[in-house]
Amino acid sequence: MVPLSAYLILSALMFVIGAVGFIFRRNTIVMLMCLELMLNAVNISFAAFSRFHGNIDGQVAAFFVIVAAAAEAALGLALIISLYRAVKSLDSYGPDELRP
Amino acid sequence: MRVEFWSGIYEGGSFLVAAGLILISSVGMVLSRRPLYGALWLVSALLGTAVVYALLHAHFLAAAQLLVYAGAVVVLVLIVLMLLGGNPERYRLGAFGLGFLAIVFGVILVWGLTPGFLVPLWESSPASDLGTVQNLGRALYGRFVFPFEAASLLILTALVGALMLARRLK
Repeated sequence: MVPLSAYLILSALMFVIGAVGFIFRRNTIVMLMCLELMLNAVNISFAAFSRFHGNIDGQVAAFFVIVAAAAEAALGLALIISLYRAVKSLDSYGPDELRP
Repeated sequence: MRVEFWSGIYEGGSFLVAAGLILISSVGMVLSRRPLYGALWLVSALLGTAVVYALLHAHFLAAAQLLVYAGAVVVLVLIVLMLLGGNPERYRLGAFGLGFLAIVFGVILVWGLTPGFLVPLWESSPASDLGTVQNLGRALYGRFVFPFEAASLLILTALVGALMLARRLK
Protein backbone atom coordinates (compact mmCIF):
# COMPACT_ATOMS: atom_id res chain seq x y z
CA MET A 1 0.00 0.00 0.00
CA VAL A 2 1.27 3.46 -0.88
CA PRO A 3 2.54 5.19 2.29
CA LEU A 4 1.38 8.61 3.37
CA SER A 5 4.83 10.11 2.83
CA ALA A 6 4.63 9.33 -0.90
CA TYR A 7 1.47 11.41 -1.24
CA LEU A 8 2.98 14.23 0.81
CA ILE A 9 6.17 14.29 -1.25
CA LEU A 10 4.10 14.39 -4.45
CA SER A 11 2.11 17.25 -2.97
CA ALA A 12 5.26 19.15 -1.95
CA LEU A 13 6.86 18.74 -5.39
CA MET A 14 3.69 19.87 -7.13
CA PHE A 15 3.40 22.88 -4.84
CA VAL A 16 7.02 23.86 -5.42
CA ILE A 17 6.66 23.63 -9.20
CA GLY A 18 3.60 25.85 -8.97
CA ALA A 19 5.35 28.34 -6.70
CA VAL A 20 8.43 28.53 -8.92
CA GLY A 21 6.23 29.05 -11.97
CA PHE A 22 4.23 31.74 -10.20
CA ILE A 23 7.36 33.66 -9.29
CA PHE A 24 9.32 33.27 -12.52
CA ARG A 25 6.66 33.49 -15.22
CA ARG A 26 5.42 36.85 -16.39
CA ASN A 27 2.22 36.02 -18.26
CA THR A 28 -0.64 36.73 -15.86
CA ILE A 29 -2.81 33.86 -17.14
CA VAL A 30 0.05 31.41 -16.65
CA MET A 31 0.51 32.80 -13.14
CA LEU A 32 -3.16 32.09 -12.46
CA MET A 33 -2.73 28.50 -13.69
CA CYS A 34 0.27 28.07 -11.39
CA LEU A 35 -1.97 29.23 -8.54
CA GLU A 36 -4.46 26.48 -9.44
CA LEU A 37 -1.60 23.98 -9.40
CA MET A 38 -0.59 25.02 -5.88
CA LEU A 39 -4.18 24.73 -4.64
CA ASN A 40 -4.38 21.22 -6.10
CA ALA A 41 -1.16 20.24 -4.35
CA VAL A 42 -2.61 21.30 -1.02
CA ASN A 43 -5.79 19.37 -1.84
CA ILE A 44 -3.80 16.17 -2.33
CA SER A 45 -2.34 16.66 1.16
CA PHE A 46 -5.82 17.17 2.58
CA ALA A 47 -7.20 14.04 0.92
CA ALA A 48 -4.17 11.96 1.97
CA PHE A 49 -4.42 12.99 5.63
CA SER A 50 -8.15 12.37 5.52
CA ARG A 51 -7.58 8.85 4.23
CA PHE A 52 -4.81 7.92 6.64
CA HIS A 53 -6.59 9.34 9.69
CA GLY A 54 -9.90 7.79 8.68
CA ASN A 55 -11.53 11.19 9.15
CA ILE A 56 -13.77 12.89 6.58
CA ASP A 57 -12.89 16.47 7.62
CA GLY A 58 -9.89 16.67 5.29
CA GLN A 59 -12.09 15.95 2.30
CA VAL A 60 -14.54 18.63 3.42
CA ALA A 61 -11.64 21.09 3.55
CA ALA A 62 -10.53 20.00 0.07
CA PHE A 63 -14.09 20.52 -1.16
CA PHE A 64 -14.10 24.08 0.15
CA VAL A 65 -10.71 24.68 -1.46
CA ILE A 66 -12.20 23.59 -4.80
CA VAL A 67 -15.10 26.01 -4.30
CA ALA A 68 -12.74 28.86 -3.43
CA ALA A 69 -10.50 28.01 -6.40
CA ALA A 70 -13.44 28.18 -8.81
CA ALA A 71 -14.47 31.58 -7.45
CA GLU A 72 -10.87 32.75 -7.56
CA ALA A 73 -10.45 31.65 -11.18
CA ALA A 74 -13.56 33.56 -12.25
CA LEU A 75 -12.54 36.73 -10.42
CA GLY A 76 -8.89 36.48 -11.46
CA LEU A 77 -9.74 36.10 -15.13
CA ALA A 78 -12.14 39.04 -14.93
CA LEU A 79 -9.34 41.09 -13.37
CA ILE A 80 -6.97 40.00 -16.14
CA ILE A 81 -9.48 41.04 -18.79
CA SER A 82 -9.95 44.49 -17.29
CA LEU A 83 -6.18 44.82 -16.83
CA TYR A 84 -5.67 43.90 -20.48
CA ARG A 85 -8.14 46.58 -21.49
CA ALA A 86 -6.14 49.14 -19.52
CA VAL A 87 -2.59 48.27 -20.62
CA LYS A 88 -3.10 46.08 -23.75
CA SER A 89 -0.71 43.45 -22.41
CA LEU A 90 -0.74 40.24 -20.41
CA ASP A 91 2.76 40.86 -19.07
CA SER A 92 2.84 41.21 -15.31
CA TYR A 93 5.70 43.69 -15.63
CA GLY A 94 3.59 45.97 -17.81
CA PRO A 95 1.28 47.87 -15.47
CA ASP A 96 3.44 50.17 -13.33
CA GLU A 97 1.21 53.24 -13.15
CA LEU A 98 1.12 53.05 -9.36
CA ARG A 99 4.89 53.03 -9.05
CA PRO A 100 6.09 56.19 -7.27
CA MET B 1 -2.85 -13.05 0.23
CA ARG B 2 -2.35 -13.24 -3.51
CA VAL B 3 -5.25 -10.88 -4.07
CA GLU B 4 -3.82 -8.40 -1.58
CA PHE B 5 -0.43 -8.66 -3.22
CA TRP B 6 -1.76 -7.92 -6.68
CA SER B 7 -4.01 -5.11 -5.49
CA GLY B 8 -1.01 -3.58 -3.75
CA ILE B 9 1.02 -3.79 -6.96
CA TYR B 10 -1.88 -2.24 -8.84
CA GLU B 11 -2.25 0.58 -6.34
CA GLY B 12 1.46 1.35 -6.29
CA GLY B 13 1.68 1.27 -10.06
CA SER B 14 -1.32 3.55 -10.46
CA PHE B 15 0.17 5.96 -7.96
CA LEU B 16 3.50 6.03 -9.79
CA VAL B 17 1.82 6.62 -13.15
CA ALA B 18 -0.40 9.38 -11.75
CA ALA B 19 2.48 11.04 -9.89
CA GLY B 20 4.69 10.93 -12.98
CA LEU B 21 1.87 12.40 -15.08
CA ILE B 22 1.31 15.19 -12.56
CA LEU B 23 4.98 16.12 -12.21
CA ILE B 24 5.78 15.99 -15.93
CA SER B 25 2.67 18.03 -16.77
CA SER B 26 3.41 20.60 -14.08
CA VAL B 27 6.96 21.11 -15.32
CA GLY B 28 5.65 21.28 -18.89
CA MET B 29 3.09 23.88 -17.86
CA VAL B 30 5.69 26.09 -16.20
CA LEU B 31 8.17 25.75 -19.07
CA SER B 32 5.83 26.09 -22.06
CA ARG B 33 6.14 29.54 -23.57
CA ARG B 34 2.73 29.52 -25.23
CA PRO B 35 -0.06 29.92 -22.63
CA LEU B 36 -2.35 27.67 -24.70
CA TYR B 37 0.01 24.73 -24.37
CA GLY B 38 0.35 25.56 -20.70
CA ALA B 39 -3.41 25.24 -20.29
CA LEU B 40 -3.37 21.84 -22.01
CA TRP B 41 -0.57 20.68 -19.72
CA LEU B 42 -2.67 21.91 -16.81
CA VAL B 43 -5.56 19.67 -17.92
CA SER B 44 -3.33 16.61 -17.80
CA ALA B 45 -1.97 17.57 -14.36
CA LEU B 46 -5.54 17.92 -13.09
CA LEU B 47 -6.50 14.53 -14.53
CA GLY B 48 -3.55 13.00 -12.66
CA THR B 49 -4.77 14.69 -9.49
CA ALA B 50 -8.19 13.13 -10.00
CA VAL B 51 -6.53 9.70 -10.23
CA VAL B 52 -4.72 10.38 -6.95
CA TYR B 53 -8.04 11.29 -5.31
CA ALA B 54 -9.54 8.03 -6.54
CA LEU B 55 -6.57 6.12 -5.09
CA LEU B 56 -7.19 7.85 -1.76
CA HIS B 57 -10.83 6.64 -1.80
CA ALA B 58 -12.05 10.22 -2.16
CA HIS B 59 -14.62 9.32 -4.79
CA PHE B 60 -16.65 12.51 -4.66
CA LEU B 61 -13.55 14.69 -4.78
CA ALA B 62 -12.31 12.84 -7.87
CA ALA B 63 -15.60 13.51 -9.63
CA ALA B 64 -15.69 17.14 -8.48
CA GLN B 65 -12.12 17.58 -9.65
CA LEU B 66 -13.03 16.48 -13.16
CA LEU B 67 -16.23 18.55 -13.27
CA VAL B 68 -15.04 21.76 -11.66
CA TYR B 69 -11.41 21.95 -12.70
CA ALA B 70 -11.09 20.18 -16.02
CA GLY B 71 -14.64 21.10 -16.92
CA ALA B 72 -15.10 24.68 -15.76
CA VAL B 73 -11.88 26.36 -14.69
CA VAL B 74 -9.75 25.26 -17.64
CA VAL B 75 -12.52 26.08 -20.10
CA LEU B 76 -12.72 29.55 -18.57
CA VAL B 77 -8.95 29.95 -18.94
CA LEU B 78 -9.12 28.79 -22.56
CA ILE B 79 -11.94 31.21 -23.37
CA VAL B 80 -9.97 34.11 -21.92
CA LEU B 81 -6.90 33.00 -23.89
CA MET B 82 -9.05 32.91 -27.02
CA LEU B 83 -10.34 36.43 -26.32
CA LEU B 84 -7.02 38.01 -25.48
CA GLY B 85 -4.78 36.02 -27.82
CA GLY B 86 -2.18 34.03 -25.94
CA ASN B 87 1.03 35.32 -27.46
CA PRO B 88 4.23 33.58 -26.42
CA GLU B 89 6.23 35.50 -23.89
CA ARG B 90 8.86 37.71 -25.41
CA TYR B 91 11.54 37.20 -22.80
CA ARG B 92 13.77 34.14 -22.78
CA LEU B 93 14.63 32.04 -19.79
CA GLY B 94 18.37 32.59 -20.00
CA ALA B 95 20.58 29.55 -19.52
CA PHE B 96 22.22 31.05 -16.46
CA GLY B 97 19.67 33.67 -15.56
CA LEU B 98 16.09 33.10 -14.54
CA GLY B 99 16.17 29.35 -15.18
CA PHE B 100 19.13 28.82 -12.88
CA LEU B 101 17.49 30.99 -10.20
CA ALA B 102 14.27 29.00 -10.54
CA ILE B 103 16.05 25.67 -10.08
CA VAL B 104 17.97 26.90 -7.02
CA PHE B 105 14.82 28.32 -5.47
CA GLY B 106 12.87 25.13 -6.14
CA VAL B 107 15.53 22.85 -4.69
CA ILE B 108 15.74 24.95 -1.53
CA LEU B 109 11.96 24.89 -1.17
CA VAL B 110 11.73 21.10 -1.64
CA TRP B 111 14.59 20.64 0.80
CA GLY B 112 12.71 22.68 3.37
CA LEU B 113 9.34 21.04 2.80
CA THR B 114 10.03 17.31 2.64
CA PRO B 115 12.10 16.11 5.66
CA GLY B 116 9.08 15.91 7.90
CA PHE B 117 7.33 13.75 5.31
CA LEU B 118 10.08 11.18 4.93
CA VAL B 119 9.27 9.60 8.29
CA PRO B 120 6.98 6.64 7.65
CA LEU B 121 3.71 7.59 9.27
CA TRP B 122 0.44 5.71 9.45
CA GLU B 123 0.70 2.47 7.52
CA SER B 124 -2.72 1.01 8.26
CA SER B 125 -5.72 2.29 6.37
CA PRO B 126 -9.11 2.13 8.07
CA ALA B 127 -12.53 2.70 6.52
CA SER B 128 -12.23 2.20 2.79
CA ASP B 129 -15.67 3.71 2.08
CA LEU B 130 -14.56 6.99 3.57
CA GLY B 131 -15.12 9.42 0.73
CA THR B 132 -18.47 8.24 -0.53
CA VAL B 133 -21.10 10.81 -1.36
CA GLN B 134 -23.14 9.74 1.69
CA ASN B 135 -20.32 10.35 4.14
CA LEU B 136 -19.21 13.61 2.60
CA GLY B 137 -22.79 14.84 2.33
CA ARG B 138 -23.48 13.95 5.95
CA ALA B 139 -20.44 15.96 7.04
CA LEU B 140 -21.23 18.88 4.72
CA TYR B 141 -24.87 19.19 5.77
CA GLY B 142 -24.17 18.32 9.41
CA ARG B 143 -21.29 19.97 11.17
CA PHE B 144 -20.22 22.05 8.17
CA VAL B 145 -23.58 23.43 7.14
CA PHE B 146 -22.69 27.04 7.97
CA PRO B 147 -19.42 27.06 5.94
CA PHE B 148 -21.35 25.36 3.15
CA GLU B 149 -23.91 28.15 3.00
CA ALA B 150 -21.13 30.72 3.30
CA ALA B 151 -19.47 29.09 0.28
CA SER B 152 -22.65 29.57 -1.75
CA LEU B 153 -22.59 33.24 -0.79
CA LEU B 154 -18.93 33.40 -1.82
CA ILE B 155 -19.73 31.99 -5.25
CA LEU B 156 -22.61 34.43 -5.72
CA THR B 157 -20.33 37.33 -4.78
CA ALA B 158 -17.62 36.12 -7.13
CA LEU B 159 -20.16 35.81 -9.96
CA VAL B 160 -21.46 39.36 -9.50
CA GLY B 161 -17.94 40.67 -9.02
CA ALA B 162 -16.66 39.01 -12.17
CA LEU B 163 -19.56 40.48 -14.14
CA MET B 164 -18.84 43.94 -12.74
CA LEU B 165 -15.10 43.69 -13.42
CA ALA B 166 -15.36 42.36 -16.96
CA ARG B 167 -18.02 44.87 -17.97
CA ARG B 168 -16.83 47.53 -20.34
CA LEU B 169 -16.84 50.79 -18.42
CA LYS B 170 -18.46 53.67 -20.21
